[in-house]
Amino acid sequence: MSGSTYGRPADEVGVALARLSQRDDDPSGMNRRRFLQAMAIGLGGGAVLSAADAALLPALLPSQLREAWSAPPVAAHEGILVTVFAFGGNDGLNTLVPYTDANYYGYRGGLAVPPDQVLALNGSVGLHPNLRYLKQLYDDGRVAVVQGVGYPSPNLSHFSSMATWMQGSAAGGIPTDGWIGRWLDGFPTDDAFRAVTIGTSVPLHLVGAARRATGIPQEAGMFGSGTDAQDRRLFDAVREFSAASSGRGAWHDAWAGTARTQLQVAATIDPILQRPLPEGSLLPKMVLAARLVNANLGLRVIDMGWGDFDSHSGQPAMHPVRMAEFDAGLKAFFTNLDDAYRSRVSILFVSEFGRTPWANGSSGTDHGAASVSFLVSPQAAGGLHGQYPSLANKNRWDNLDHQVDFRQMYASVLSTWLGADPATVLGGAYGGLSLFASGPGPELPEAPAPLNLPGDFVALSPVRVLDTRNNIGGRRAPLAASVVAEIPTMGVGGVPTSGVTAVALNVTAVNPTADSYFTIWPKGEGMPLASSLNWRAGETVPNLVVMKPGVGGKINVWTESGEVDAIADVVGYFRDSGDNRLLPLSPRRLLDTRNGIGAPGQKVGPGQSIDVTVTGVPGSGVPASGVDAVVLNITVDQPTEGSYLTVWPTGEGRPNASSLNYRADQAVPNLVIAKVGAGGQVSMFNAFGSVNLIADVVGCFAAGALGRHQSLSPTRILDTRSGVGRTGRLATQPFSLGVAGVGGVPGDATSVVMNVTVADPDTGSYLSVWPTGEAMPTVSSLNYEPGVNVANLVIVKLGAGGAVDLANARGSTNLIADVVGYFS
Amino acid sequence: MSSNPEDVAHLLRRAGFVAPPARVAALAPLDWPAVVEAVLDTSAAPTEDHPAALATFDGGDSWKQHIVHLQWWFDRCASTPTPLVEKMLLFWHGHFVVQWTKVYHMPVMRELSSTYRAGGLGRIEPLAQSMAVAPAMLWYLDNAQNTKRSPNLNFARELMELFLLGVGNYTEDDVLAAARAWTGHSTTEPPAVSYAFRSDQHDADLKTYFGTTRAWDGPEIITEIFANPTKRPVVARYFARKLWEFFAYQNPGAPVLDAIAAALLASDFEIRSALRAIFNHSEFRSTTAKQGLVRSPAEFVVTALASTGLSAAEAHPEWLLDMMGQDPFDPPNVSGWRPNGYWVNTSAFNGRAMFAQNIGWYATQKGVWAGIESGTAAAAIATAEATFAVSFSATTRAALTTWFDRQRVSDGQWNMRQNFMTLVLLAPELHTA
Repeated sequence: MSGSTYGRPADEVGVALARLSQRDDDPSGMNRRRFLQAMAIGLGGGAVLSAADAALLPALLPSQLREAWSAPPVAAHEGILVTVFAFGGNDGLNTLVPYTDANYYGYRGGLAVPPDQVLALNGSVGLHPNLRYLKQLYDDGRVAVVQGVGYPSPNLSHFSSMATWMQGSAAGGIPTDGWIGRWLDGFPTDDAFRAVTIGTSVPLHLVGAARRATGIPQEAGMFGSGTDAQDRRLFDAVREFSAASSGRGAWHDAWAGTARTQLQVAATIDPILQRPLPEGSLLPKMVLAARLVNANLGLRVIDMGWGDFDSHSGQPAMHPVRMAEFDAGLKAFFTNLDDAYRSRVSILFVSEFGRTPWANGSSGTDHGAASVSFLVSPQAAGGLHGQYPSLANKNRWDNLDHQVDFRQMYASVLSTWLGADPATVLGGAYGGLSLFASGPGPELPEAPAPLNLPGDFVALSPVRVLDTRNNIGGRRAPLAASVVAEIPTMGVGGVPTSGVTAVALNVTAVNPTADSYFTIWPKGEGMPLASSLNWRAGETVPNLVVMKPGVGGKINVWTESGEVDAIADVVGYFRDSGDNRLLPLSPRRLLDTRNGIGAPGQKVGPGQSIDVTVTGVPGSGVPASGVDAVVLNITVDQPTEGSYLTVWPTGEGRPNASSLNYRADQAVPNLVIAKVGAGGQVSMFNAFGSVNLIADVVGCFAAGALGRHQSLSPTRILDTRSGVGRTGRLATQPFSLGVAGVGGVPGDATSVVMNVTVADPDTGSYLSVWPTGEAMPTVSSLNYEPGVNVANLVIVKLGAGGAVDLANARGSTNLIADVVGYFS
Repeated sequence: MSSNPEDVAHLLRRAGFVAPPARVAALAPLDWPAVVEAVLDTSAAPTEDHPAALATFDGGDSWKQHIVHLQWWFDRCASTPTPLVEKMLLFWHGHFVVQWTKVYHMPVMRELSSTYRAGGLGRIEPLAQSMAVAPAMLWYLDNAQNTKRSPNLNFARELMELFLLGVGNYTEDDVLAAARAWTGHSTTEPPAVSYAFRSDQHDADLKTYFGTTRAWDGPEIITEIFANPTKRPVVARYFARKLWEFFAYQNPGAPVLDAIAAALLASDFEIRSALRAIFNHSEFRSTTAKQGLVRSPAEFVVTALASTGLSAAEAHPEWLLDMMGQDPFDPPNVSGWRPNGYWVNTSAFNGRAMFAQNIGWYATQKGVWAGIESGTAAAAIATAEATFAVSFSATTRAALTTWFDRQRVSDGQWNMRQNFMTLVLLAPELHTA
């Protein structure tokens, strides 16, 4: 009879797995220490309290005690390991394909991956076509591919082989613990959870003598996560079940202790689960793993598994899907990972065995032996390790011979990544494999943030320091919501490693999946309530950022929702001593291709550049010499195609950078700090279609000028929605905003750097910003469509009374202004 | 000579699910052997009234049938005058394991369950013979596909390793011989599934099994285990341990095992005789035994239903069995459930807590504990003890009292019954048996 006559297929993998999951068996060992600890912090435990603690006690006990597990955060040079188990036996031959081996194509027939689809790693092996992201990581040097992994005398039973892999010991025999559990046994007895599995029961490899692993769910709403007064009283009572031993035996007390632990787990994990996880098998687990790392609960190991990889039949409909799931899971992990932890995570992908070289009669392959593993880590020794097993002369039931013992991989992970003695954990010496280029954490401790000093400008030809699409700046993944990515700014792109007081960057949001915004702030400072750039789903939006770097010379970037790629081009920096200071200017038009000002009166065509004279233009106020850079408000008008504009010093090579991005028919302004090139000119390049360009100069950095730059933590001085600086929406009546003496800007400031955001405009319109007392310019600082929030940086001279005027052309809008610096 | 009511309650919980005070009071005047005989007397067991919906295979609605089956079984456990029958059903589903999620065919699953219910207290050998040719088992351990051309060792191995003998009491050659003996023992094709012997797929050649070479046939493999003088004590010892650990505590000493094994041998492996020996053994009434077991999720569900009077259709235990860790017809693997600590972990606690909240809601909605919020904490606790037939420790009593008084001060009487029942259902006393 055929298997399909049963309601469901035989789940031999599930059977093996269930037998390899261990739950607590010993009531006295299981919760005793946790139980004692609970008593110590609870009522009547006899803990010695300081006077200060005692004074707080009535307020804290019992419901307000912070309920979270007690592990200290992971230190900067402690590695975090993510284990991903492919259940059922992953087909190594179709994962790392020997695409030039005729034997492979002979044995596999129609199941083989065609050579032209393989993502070649070298002249003989390549990745499955669905592992595109893994290939990118490989090209970045972040993947150690371990060929021919297995063990001697392989056992072809799922159960026995999983047990062997999970036990990870020279000892063999019936396993009672696993390699990670034994490693965790060596930790100080601080009683904290150090490992979790995403699932309900703890798998063998996390099991040790001390219980340092627990299972966590993927959905919010665990018992213990409620927060209202009734919930808290109920939880208090549940905790009190373990306030003292009942005298009813070990199991009775173990139950009470487990109840208390569950409340801790729920209170710790539930907030992380509040934002829903994506649908899928591996995908939600990988996203949750990244969130757990970001939360820094002290976890050293995060475990997960998925399947089914047991492709006895119908392999073409199964294995490629698993490969795509793994690839998407990897990308989701890095998309959801804060950059601060990037150099501290490694992902180890394993499976209990590979599959037979020969295809069977039902479009499948049977239980095999040696297979392939991956160690994915920014610190990996990227490349191929081990050796591809020979495929020569294989008969129907022959399997691949292992070249690397899986315990050699464990040994490398234990010694380099987890800081353990592998021989102790594994019960034997398994050397010879080195999967890491370096240990966890940044190689050098990060420098403290620069002091907040006045600075003088140094202009640069734009240099791209971050592109999350292409691994520039260390990140090869977009940012998911609430993820903190880092823009490296010091020691890159011509910016020195010291003496820097602020940097000027053009930051661009690319291909966002949802309407959202960036908040940008110096690493090491608290995230401000401020937005630097706003977008609608699918748009590409830039904005200039002038900001003091934080710890390690880095600037943080964060988005509220969706996923988005980020690009940052550094255009200059401020240093603590120099010559070039800001000469603030009233806006003056230097370029208008519609009217033949500064350039011929015609649109700039596709792939075309124009050179624009920016110094010594009569009436502009920009001196003819000694000018390092100009501050331009550039507007594109009537573009015929979606495109971007690059601005750079004339005479230098055109950099890989952009200053403005635009859709067809969109009028968009952006502030651009442009280094002056040969002949006092700057060059502008339009990539696609044709477009009119308008540029107004609003300042320049010149020798002998007086304005030194000073950074400020972003401070909101105007929010018409909440009555900060003004109450009520701005209609077409100009409005004067006092800036000097407000929000950290001193009374003697000559210019202000602020990020201006329009919120909820009711009409398509534009906003102009200019010094109070002067004539309104004909150029805008922001252009917007109804209902769309838009932000732009402005550098504007302070006018009469230290104020600036703002005017909205049509309809009405709310307006927000965050000062981020000034010149004085 | 009367018996200690605490001992009687202990026996009722172990041989069933709960210890109703009235039943304790009725039995306590008897001497202990008479109490044991009363518990072992299952002559009043109700007929097996499976719902009609379970009679036919329904490919699209097998899961709904499973829920009907679960609810029917939980209600039966909560109301039967002979809970020992259902307790043994739970034992056998965890011993001669078939996983519903593999078989997924209600008529064969129900038939297997009926086999275990009918023979659960009788001699092991006939039960094992019935089990071996039950279509559910023939599918579950792949013997339906065990053919002369391509022997499948799955059933033969588990028959010896897990069902009857235990590791170390047979060789790999014995497994292969047994597998060959069982070739051809298969089923008819669905929808009308029944046992079918396919002589063309049966290996009738000579095989050497336990040192004897002849043309062994499947059922003879089991017969030989119960006849072979070197295997009989092994089987007796194997079941002595399994039964003692199911009813009393883990890791019994040799004297206990010897006594129970002797009872099995003397009765030709009759379960009722083994239970008589277990319940009458002095160790059964020891503190170790009384504190030795955690209520399994199925036992907890039955306790909650029987105590509150809710039906399974009202309480929906099927929603949370998976999270609690035990579907009575779907053990996690062929080795069945493990005891005690297997149920005591944070995720399983979470499942029980959610079930407790459901019970608290549905029961108090039906008027259970009406007015309890108007009385004292002490009165409420006494009511809870009577409802659930437990006696709270001083620690639990203090926790319940504190909660009761704080809740009434803070929120008045709103919601008190429901939350109090939830809390009581989470007390450790409800989770040890």
